[in-house]
Amino acid sequence: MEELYNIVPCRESQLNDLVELLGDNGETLPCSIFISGSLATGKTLCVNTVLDYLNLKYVLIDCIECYSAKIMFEEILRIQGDQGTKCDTLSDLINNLNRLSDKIKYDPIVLVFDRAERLRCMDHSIISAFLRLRELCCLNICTIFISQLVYDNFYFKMGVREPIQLYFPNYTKEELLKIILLKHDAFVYYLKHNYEIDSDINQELEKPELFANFLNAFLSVFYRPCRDLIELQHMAKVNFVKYCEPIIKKEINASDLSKLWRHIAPILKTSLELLYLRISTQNTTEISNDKENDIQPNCDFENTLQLLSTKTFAQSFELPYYAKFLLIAAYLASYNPPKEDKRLFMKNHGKQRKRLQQVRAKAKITEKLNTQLGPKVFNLDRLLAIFYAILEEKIGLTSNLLAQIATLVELKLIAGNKEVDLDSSKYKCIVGYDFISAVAQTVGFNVRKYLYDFI
Amino acid sequence: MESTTSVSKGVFLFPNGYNNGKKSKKKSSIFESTFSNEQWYRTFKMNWDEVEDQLRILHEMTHSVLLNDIVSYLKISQQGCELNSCDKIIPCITLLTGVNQPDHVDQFKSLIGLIREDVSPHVAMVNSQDAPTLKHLVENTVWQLINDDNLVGDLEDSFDESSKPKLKKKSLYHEDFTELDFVMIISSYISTLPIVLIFGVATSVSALHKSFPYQVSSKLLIKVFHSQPSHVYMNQVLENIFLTHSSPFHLSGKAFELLTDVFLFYDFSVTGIIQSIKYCMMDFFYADNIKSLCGDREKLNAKISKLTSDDLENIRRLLSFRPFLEVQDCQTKIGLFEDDNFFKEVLQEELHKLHDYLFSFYLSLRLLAVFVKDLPKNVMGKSVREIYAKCATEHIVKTEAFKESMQLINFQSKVQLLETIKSAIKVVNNALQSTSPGPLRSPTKNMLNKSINSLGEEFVKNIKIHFVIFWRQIENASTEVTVLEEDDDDFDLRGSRHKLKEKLLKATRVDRIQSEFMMIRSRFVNYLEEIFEKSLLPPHTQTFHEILFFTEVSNVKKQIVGAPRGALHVALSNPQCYLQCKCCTLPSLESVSDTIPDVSLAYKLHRECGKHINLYDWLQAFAAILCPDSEDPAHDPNIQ
Repeated sequence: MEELYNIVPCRESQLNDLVELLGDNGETLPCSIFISGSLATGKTLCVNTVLDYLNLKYVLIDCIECYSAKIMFEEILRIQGDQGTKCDTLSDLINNLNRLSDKIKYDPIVLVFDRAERLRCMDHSIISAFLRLRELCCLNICTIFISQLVYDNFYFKMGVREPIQLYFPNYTKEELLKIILLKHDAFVYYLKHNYEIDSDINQELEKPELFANFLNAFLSVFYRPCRDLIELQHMAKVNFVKYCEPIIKKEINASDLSKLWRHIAPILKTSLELLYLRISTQNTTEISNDKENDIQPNCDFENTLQLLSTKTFAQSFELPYYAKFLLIAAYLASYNPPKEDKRLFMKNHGKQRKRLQQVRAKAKITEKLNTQLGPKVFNLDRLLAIFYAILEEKIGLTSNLLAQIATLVELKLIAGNKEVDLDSSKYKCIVGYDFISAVAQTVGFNVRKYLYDFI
Repeated sequence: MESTTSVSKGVFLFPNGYNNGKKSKKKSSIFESTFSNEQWYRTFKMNWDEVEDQLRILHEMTHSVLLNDIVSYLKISQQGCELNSCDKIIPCITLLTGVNQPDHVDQFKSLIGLIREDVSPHVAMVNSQDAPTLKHLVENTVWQLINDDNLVGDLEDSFDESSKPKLKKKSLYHEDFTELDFVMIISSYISTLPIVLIFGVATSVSALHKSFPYQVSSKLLIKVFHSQPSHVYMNQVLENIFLTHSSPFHLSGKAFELLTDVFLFYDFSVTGIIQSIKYCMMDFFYADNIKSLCGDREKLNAKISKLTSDDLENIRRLLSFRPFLEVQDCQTKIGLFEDDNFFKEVLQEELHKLHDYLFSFYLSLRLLAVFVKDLPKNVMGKSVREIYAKCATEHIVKTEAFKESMQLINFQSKVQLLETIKSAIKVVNNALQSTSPGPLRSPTKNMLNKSINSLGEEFVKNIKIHFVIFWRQIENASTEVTVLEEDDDDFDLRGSRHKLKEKLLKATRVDRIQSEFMMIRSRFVNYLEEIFEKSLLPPHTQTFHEILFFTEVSNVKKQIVGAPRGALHVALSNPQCYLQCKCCTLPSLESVSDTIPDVSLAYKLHRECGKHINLYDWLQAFAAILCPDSEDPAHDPNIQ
């Protein structure tokens, strides 16, 4: 048991449960086990290690791969040892398994379904059948389902045999600390891989206390937003390098903890925004330095953050001139009520002075601001009408122009149908105000002037 | 001389143009057989092939840097793989390709070629359209990766199979990122199967981040590469291939503007603009033997001698021939019309002159671009392309913008001016190098050149000498204003207001005394004005410019900028335009007759009404036109 605990740290009780359920050699296996728990809590790892440890015959099926039931069945049949058995239906599978029973008698067999939530998308009978697979074929077979969802999220029409449920809770802060600490070697290796380090500092860096201190600081920032062990490890790896940088450069003494904390705290905060977004910061000195590319090699967090901010994002967009106007027109069409179009876009829109006051009073209420309510649907004709209204020059309605609408849809700036159909297609502009005002700025257009909310 | 392959080869270069594929098929079958004996077609084909070769070279050059970067990153990531594989993280390259750059396909093809050569033979490219579902995606990729294997049906099989090769690279050209599952699957195999994903993204990395949920994005280690913005590439294409004196045909100002407008305002597509130019070229050359005079200058004489008298007659009808004719005396005029041989001689001379003009025109264009590039306010535009559009439509020296920029040059500092002159000399040298082995003049031509103030190579050599001299002079010139009297006044500065006034007055006068540098500078600017005045005359002032310049914009506009609604309207209101039948001749657009197609008739009638149409009236009118005899059309079963 000890070696199991070493492989999967901090999961003692779950390991115990699993071993107890599957362990005794003479006993029959439980019919089915359902394991749930969020991402990176060691579910699959635990099951695999236990099964390996108990030396049971098992097949691991990643349900995400099985886009059709056929693939899943054939995968299960790998348990026979030979490949290429054709198996199209559930009954084929049962038959095949029954045929097996002559060969292996009552040796225990385990089927593990990883990412079992995918089974919900398949035919209902499949998961029900797998839950009571042992009843259907005369084998000592057990099915284990591993899923991020709890069992209650699986709906069944008919009564099914309830599986034994196991829950993997998230790691606590202490457990995370303990687990990441075990990886100390890898971190130091990574550090050395990236930097040239003097030998005396080298020893300092290898001290576990330094690493533990760093992890404490790190987890104090990251524990709240993220429990995903893998992601935490990755972020820790990136940030540990930053943490050690001043030590390597001999700016801060390795024992001066408060100074180090002051150094790392702002860095941690900014890198928090990059959680789950991995942008390679690998040193690319070997890459021939082209002018346009050398922003990248020493790409810092700030740099990456810049990439993500809306404004620069919008400015980095290189759209043709008319496409920009089309986008603006789409935005205006989405966020202005159609009945106000006349007033907004036509020069002689008639008298509306009297009602203007009322309108103003209405518009002031923030809950009613169209810009806050999200985009409304509009049709192609309205889009084109607004487009021609805001565009000063007269241009023909050419196929190139219509093709731009499809392009905008493809770029996911406008939601709608790619095919431009005059009668039926409906669109919606799906970019925000910040974005559109940045785009409008590049063509010297004042969006506010044409937004009903701001009049 | 003929080879059927070259045309189709040219078409393969732009495989993404849908229209083009169609065109090419027709061409190789019908075009080739009908026109291969025609002079103009041969010239067209030769010239286009040449352009295409140049394009290919340029294309390879521009992409090579980026592609090499990517490949070397791939090689590095190979080593990094071991580090990441424990976390199930896929190294991933994101190539930001830019909006609407239809040469993505080309770019990716050459990238794949490079990867096959340098990194690994196992590359698969999947287009988002080709992979609507996970099943398609997986089968498509796996099939590409092990294309000798026949058993594609089973995913697991194939993955086992493909795990044998040591390293596998996947180049995934994917725009929609719909297949999140695919990434997850790869991530679960990453420890046994080194895979690198390459995404082509049109806009920015955030598009990737937005379209992936966090489970997926945390599995990707993204490295971003930017490809060159397409307008830079277009500038390169235009400057290096079409805006040179060696280009086989030249676009007039208007045509050029139309094409660049389509690019800048509508689609940002370099392939598109090249295709449009090709179309212009086809239109230009089509069925016109005069156009065989385009192309190499050395072959000009031989080509002229081959012209038939019909061709010569056509040339005589060119508009630009008239002003030329008016200047000549009576004897020559008669000679030009009567004597074909004499006309050929004149034609030859004039065409050589035209070539000389072109040579100095494009050179001056580049020089002008060099000089105005760094000026504030950008009155003339920055790129050669913009300046060309201006120069080709009007005589640039007479415009306000030109005068303003010359004035601005007159304010430039010494260092700056030296710098620009240096780059200008470089431009001149380049131009001279590229042609020096080329056109060797016969003595007669030399004489001619002198008579028209020697444009052409002589002119350019002259410019070079002048520039070098100016450069030396400016470098040696002192910038100090040599004024001596000023020193004495300093003592009484605190004196009365009157004195101060006097001093200031004096100072204004002193300013007029220029330093040596200033003098040379203004001389230099004068010289610049002089050469530009001479060489930047717009093309339409030249005799026989129609032979080399494409001017008929209106002909191609319809084809290049399609207007679906307009076309529909024309088709319905004037069906003869497309049907080309005799029966549908209409006296005016509004008139109706019973011979035109029913749809067209209905359309015309509906246009006669106001906003609302009474269906009954409409049909009545329709019936009245079709069968004017029947008294009570309401009882006609055909209409009901």
